Amino acid sequence: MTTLDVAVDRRAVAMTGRGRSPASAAWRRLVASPAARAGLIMVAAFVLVALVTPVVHLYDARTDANLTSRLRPPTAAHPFGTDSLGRDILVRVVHATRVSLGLAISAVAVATVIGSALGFLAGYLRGRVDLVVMFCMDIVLAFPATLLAIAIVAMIGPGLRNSLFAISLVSIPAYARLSRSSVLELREQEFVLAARGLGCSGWRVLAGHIVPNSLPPLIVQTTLSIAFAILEAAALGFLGLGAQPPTPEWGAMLADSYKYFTSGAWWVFCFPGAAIMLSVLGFNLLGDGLRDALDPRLGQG
Amino acid sequence: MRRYAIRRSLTIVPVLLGVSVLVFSFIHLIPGDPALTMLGERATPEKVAEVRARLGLDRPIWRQYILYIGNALRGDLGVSIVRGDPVASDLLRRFPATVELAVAAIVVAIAFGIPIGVASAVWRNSPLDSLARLGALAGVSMPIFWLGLVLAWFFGVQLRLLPTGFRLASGTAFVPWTNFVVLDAALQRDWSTLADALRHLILPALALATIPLAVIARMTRASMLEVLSREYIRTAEAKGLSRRAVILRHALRNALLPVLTVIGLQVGRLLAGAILTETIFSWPGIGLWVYESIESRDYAIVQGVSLFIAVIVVGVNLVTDVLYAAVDPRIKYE
Amino acid sequence: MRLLTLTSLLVAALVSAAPAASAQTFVFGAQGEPVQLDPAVITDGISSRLTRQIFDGLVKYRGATTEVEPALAEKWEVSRDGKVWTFQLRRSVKFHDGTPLDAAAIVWNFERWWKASHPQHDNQVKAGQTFEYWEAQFAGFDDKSIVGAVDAVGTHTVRITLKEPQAPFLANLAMFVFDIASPKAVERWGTEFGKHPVGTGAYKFVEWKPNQEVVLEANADYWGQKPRIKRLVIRNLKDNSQRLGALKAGEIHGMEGLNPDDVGVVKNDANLQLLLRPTNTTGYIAFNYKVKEFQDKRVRQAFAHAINKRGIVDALYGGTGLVASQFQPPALWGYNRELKDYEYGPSHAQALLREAGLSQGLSDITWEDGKKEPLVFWYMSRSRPYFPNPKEIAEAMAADLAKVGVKTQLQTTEWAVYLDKRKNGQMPLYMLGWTGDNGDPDNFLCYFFCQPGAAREGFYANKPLADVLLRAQKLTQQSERAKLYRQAEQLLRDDVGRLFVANNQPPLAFAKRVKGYVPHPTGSEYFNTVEMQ
Repeated sequence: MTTLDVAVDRRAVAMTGRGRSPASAAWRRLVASPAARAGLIMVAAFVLVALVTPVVHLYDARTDANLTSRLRPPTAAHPFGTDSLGRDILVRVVHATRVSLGLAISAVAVATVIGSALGFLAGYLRGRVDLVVMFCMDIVLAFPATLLAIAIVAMIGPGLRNSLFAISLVSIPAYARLSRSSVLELREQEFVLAARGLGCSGWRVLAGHIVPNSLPPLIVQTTLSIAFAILEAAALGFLGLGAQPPTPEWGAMLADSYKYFTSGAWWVFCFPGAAIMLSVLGFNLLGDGLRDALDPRLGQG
Repeated sequence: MRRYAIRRSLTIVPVLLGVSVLVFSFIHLIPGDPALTMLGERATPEKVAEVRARLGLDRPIWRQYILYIGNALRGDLGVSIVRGDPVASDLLRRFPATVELAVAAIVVAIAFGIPIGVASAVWRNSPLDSLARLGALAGVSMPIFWLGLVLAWFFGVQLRLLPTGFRLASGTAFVPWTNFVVLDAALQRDWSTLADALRHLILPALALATIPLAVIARMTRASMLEVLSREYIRTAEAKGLSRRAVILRHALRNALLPVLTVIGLQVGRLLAGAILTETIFSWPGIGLWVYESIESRDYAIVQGVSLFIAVIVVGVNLVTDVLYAAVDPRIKYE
Repeated sequence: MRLLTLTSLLVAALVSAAPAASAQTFVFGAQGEPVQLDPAVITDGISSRLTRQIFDGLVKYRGATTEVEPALAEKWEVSRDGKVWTFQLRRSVKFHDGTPLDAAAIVWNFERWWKASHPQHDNQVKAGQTFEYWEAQFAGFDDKSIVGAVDAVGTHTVRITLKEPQAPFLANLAMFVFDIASPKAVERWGTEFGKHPVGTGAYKFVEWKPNQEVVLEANADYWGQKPRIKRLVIRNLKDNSQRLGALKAGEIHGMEGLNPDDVGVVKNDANLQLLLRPTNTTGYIAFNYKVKEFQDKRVRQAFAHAINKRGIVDALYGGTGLVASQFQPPALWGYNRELKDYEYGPSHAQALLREAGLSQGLSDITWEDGKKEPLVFWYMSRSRPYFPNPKEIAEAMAADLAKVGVKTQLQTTEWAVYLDKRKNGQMPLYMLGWTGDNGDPDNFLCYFFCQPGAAREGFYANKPLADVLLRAQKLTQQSERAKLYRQAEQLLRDDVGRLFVANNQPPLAFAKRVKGYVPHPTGSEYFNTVEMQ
């Protein structure tokens, strides 16, 4: 995403030793922006739904079918209508939140850990390690991310676990580049040089000073990556490569139902698609807001 | 400048090699014996032996790679497992449809993205700006296959205004010369076919254009804001030039440079997005082909198309970089 | 928004320019891509829709019936004992490549189907193709076959000698697989003939645009009713809704494979007409008998009681379906009206599973070779006449099964791969169905159950059933045969060899101005009678 590239370019600010608590200052800046507030609320809502739903509502997709009430338009009993098997779309959209968000967040978590570890190492050790790592990243980046994810899952077979693998793989390079550039910048800064001067070992400098100080851009990147991963997961699901029936997943729900658009059943594809868009929008709004909040020099970008 | 271009061109060689290694390794990602998995239930012992020989699976892995890259360099991307046709020639036959769609999408994206971005920057913080920014953010958040569905449903089913699939109405006795149907129809002065081709192009192009449009609008806005805050713009304004002239003649021209890079970056995304868009709209390009090949587990096609697209993306990035260097006087490369 | 107004302007400008499709061209929306166009080796309706236009057989079905009438053979006679058939060929018929249709060509085609050593048979087998129908209808190849000799006894006279009489012999010959191909073209193209078909039919092959359409043009020299439509395009529109959308938009003029939920849409559209094919199709679930759990009849019975067929037929067939209690559709003369179907009863199903020692339910299966794996329930990826929306039907049946404790994993794959998996007996539990080819009960039952233990039937081995069917095949008295077929259905039911789910009257939709399309129970429909007004 271009937003990612921008995030990579913009240098992080070392936030130690300025003001009282930089985190609380950033939080104040974040909630001051209406767009970021909206994003925060949307993300919180989706995460809450994902966490709470399984606790308050038991749902076994495998036994869910009610053929006598198929394709009913939205009513009070079924606010989002029912699908072609008479399943309540609201129930499925809500339960799919856990699957879709879970897939996106875990894929990004894996990518963050692996990608930033690679980036820190490359940036800190430089030399041959740097060359090899960044070369690998360039290769992955030569592919459009969506294409690479689709190709990988097509090869190793459909399913949620394979989707997770593919999405995290294509998300790694952004983290590697970002954390590497943070290290390259920070390692020449005074407080790092000072720490080294005081006799701290290389690894302690990396772990104790460099990593914590490069967190802000990584947080921004993570938020935006989740947005992207939700889209990827939905695309894989839509192509039949992600969740397999009857597991509810937004992309797969779209694929299941879109043929009913000719008979006028707009609700079957409207709501799952809207859920994808709103959750992605939420993470994007939050990511933009975080970038502004964590990097005050940029002002309102 | 020329030395930069040459140096930059040389950097893509290792990247392309790496890309080919990755694509080559796809076949080894398949769990189990690739030959058997590729053939699936079609696997007679003769066919397995044939595929193993063709892929060189009985040889050491580096030899297999040499074989693969050698064939690829000669334009041989293997043959389709299901139909037995050479992948490369089918790829070239189908590619024009995708190019047509992608070009239409990028034209839409530029035609709307840049004006929206400029307006948004000029009237910064106005309701128009807020709306445009939110719209752009919604655009980058859009699952295009969903948007495609909504468009097809609304314009195709509800309003019955536009076709929702294919490049031409069926039965059109039109013989394309190059497979760029729009271009061919124009060259042949076949106006009704041209109109028909454009009608078929509208919905898929709109769906595919959404994300690039939003990205371009965002980039244009950011870039314009930066330029507008520069000294020389204030000077120009102080000299009494009209605001319109300042914006169009001075600011926009300078602001477009980073936008150019962003447009270059969209090429890969368009080609990947084509897989989803073409699937929704039965558009007979390489995207639909990939989708159908995934279904029939025709790995040679998935592999061939992946390599082809990656090479294009690397090439476009190279061209964008060199162009950028040529256009931007501030960058020195020697 | 500005974008929207501009778009709508553009739209308005272009909408008025929609071209009128030429009245000479008929576009039919098919459900998928043909496998290939060599009638001898295909088995699917998508391919045979095309080959029926390009090729002719010795005989054909009359109108919408399964009675046989002359085609390439003008007339024929049969010896008293029912073993020797002599066909007089129509004179001066030519293949599309100009070679004459004569007795030699007929003999050549029969030998190709029949003799495994024939070079044009052998090469197909090596390429992974089999002459599946010949094997099924005429009891195998070479010496195993019921066909004893095929001779040219004159330039236009062919004599076929059977080792024993076969009641449905003529009806068999009218099937699409026994359409006659140009020997010269087959020899020229070999295994690629399926991409370059040459026959004697009302339409000639022009072009196959992969994944798009196959184009045919009228054969001006056709011996039968000359086609009125000059150019026939069979377009691959995989998605049912999209196909209907194309029909509504006038891009295509006819289509098969209507979503059940769209049947009403077509009925209510003043520009469209709905045609129903007489029911001749049955959808079923097959067990793989290499799965240990399915070797226990109680488990199969439990499945039969668990699935709510009535609910599925009512909800998912758009009013064109019927609950199936047996393999033959009700219109066939071997149908068993006395047969008592398993009733829907989840608790009964659970009791049976408990009896079979599966009180925990069933989610993992054990293959005979000891391999354990999750129970995968396969469904086809595309709509079939008997399962118009396989994924939904599969999900509904899987939900019914889950309710009694049988937890399956649904899986699908591309159609050709699916058929291959079935052929090799690799699916533990799968959906499939059958559309009759020739109106004879033999065609429904014998193809599936005359070869006990065949891999393609999930290794189902029911010897008594096979014996009954083979006996029925050799009788010539229809009433006697009917008795045996009724008995066969009873045997099949008692053993729960299969779960028969539904019969369907597959709907077809056409533009109102299309006339002369005759829906046929076998799906063998010809375009030379079709016209557009």
